[in-house]
Amino acid sequence: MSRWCCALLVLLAAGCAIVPQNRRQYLADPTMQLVEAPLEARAMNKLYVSREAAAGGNARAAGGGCGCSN
Amino acid sequence: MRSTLAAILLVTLTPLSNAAPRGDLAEPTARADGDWRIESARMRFSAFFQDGEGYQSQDGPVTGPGGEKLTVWQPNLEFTVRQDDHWRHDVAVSVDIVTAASPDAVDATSSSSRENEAASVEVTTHATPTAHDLWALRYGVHVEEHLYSGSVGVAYTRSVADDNASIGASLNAVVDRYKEFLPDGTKHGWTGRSGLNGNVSLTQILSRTTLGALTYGVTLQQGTLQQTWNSVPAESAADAPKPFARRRELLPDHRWRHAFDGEVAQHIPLTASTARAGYRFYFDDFGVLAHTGSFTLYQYFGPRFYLRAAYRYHHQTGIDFFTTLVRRDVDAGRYVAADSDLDAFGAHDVGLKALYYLHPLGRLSGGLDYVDVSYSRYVRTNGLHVDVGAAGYGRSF
Repeated sequence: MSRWCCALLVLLAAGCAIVPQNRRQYLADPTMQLVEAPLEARAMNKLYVSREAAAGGNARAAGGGCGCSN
Repeated sequence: MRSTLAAILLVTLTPLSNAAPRGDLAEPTARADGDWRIESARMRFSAFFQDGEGYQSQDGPVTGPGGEKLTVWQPNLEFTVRQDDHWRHDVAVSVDIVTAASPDAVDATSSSSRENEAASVEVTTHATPTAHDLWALRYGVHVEEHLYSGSVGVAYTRSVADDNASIGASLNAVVDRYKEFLPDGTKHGWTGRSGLNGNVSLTQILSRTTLGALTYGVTLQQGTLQQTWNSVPAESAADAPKPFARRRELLPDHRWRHAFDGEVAQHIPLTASTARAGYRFYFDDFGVLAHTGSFTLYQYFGPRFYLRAAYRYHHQTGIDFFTTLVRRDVDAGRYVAADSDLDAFGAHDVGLKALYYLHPLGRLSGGLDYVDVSYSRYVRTNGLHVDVGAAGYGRSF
């Protein structure tokens, strides 16, 4: 596992680039946003959280809800 | 008695990923302090149709599995309020109307499993004291029948390397308070649980068309972690009139969870496409080990319309104390659970979405004015599936 993490970090570091602000038009595309549709992401995350034991740890505390509500 | 739910709240530190370095980004026009206005609004209506079976459900033979059929109608609304150049507030309201949720003995004294409404209100306040610093404060409440929940969190994100990268950290807490119903429908007063969560993240521009993000999160849950009305098939005592019965689910009173996330997004100008790939690794001290991979492809047809195809696969091992039948020699204090959500399984999720931008500039406008429809099917290998249909609308002002 740690080897995979190190490999990924090295890969990302090697790929780092300084892209000037005026050359980021493709990065500004709505489809490139890491959370492209917040409402949809919220609903689908709730579906996964209440049906999979591996939910949580994704920038919010686990808890809340009876787990039966979707 | 049918519950009436008040509103709620939860707060979301804009997931750190929201603070990814972006190339857009129209600077807000200079505004006078105190000149509040609604900047944009988004709404989404979703319907979830679930069918399947689970050993925790009593809607079947005593040795299980029982039915897990349910329907959820879920309207969501989110709007962004601009206070001034440095302050912004995102307000999200969510309602769940659930019918026929995993019928069990709790229905003997309440309708919480047969018909249930839940509501949440979540506010995220963003502050940008400098061009490179973003603070976010999240607070919210959630209410459903017999359960009240509140949460709060704070996040900080710093843009570095001429905004080519951002690093962030966040801390979140949630407290739940709810009535303790047992599998036979009797009530044992109030109980509760809490969760504390910390995250660190890195987002990096990798090229003019490539973006990457890494996140690690750790969560500690404490308190009554089991669903108190969940039951487990069990052998009866030797002298009992019936050979099988149900006993209550019992889980440890704390749980450590760790999750690692990685995602890469690649835009392909030649074909007007975007491809995204993600991977998540998770483990906890209940014995769950999980891998989740996802792939999403967006294809534009002109500047105002795109189709999205998505696939996600999740695989998890079960918790150490999962069982579908408790032997009679197992003492009552032993941890046991038959909830199929905690079992080992794989899950496929396939989805399609069509989105049309209402603004004449289409995607160049930033994508705030749109209508969309989507459908996805979630299928678990241990006998559960969910069909999800949704329609959304967004508007900037």
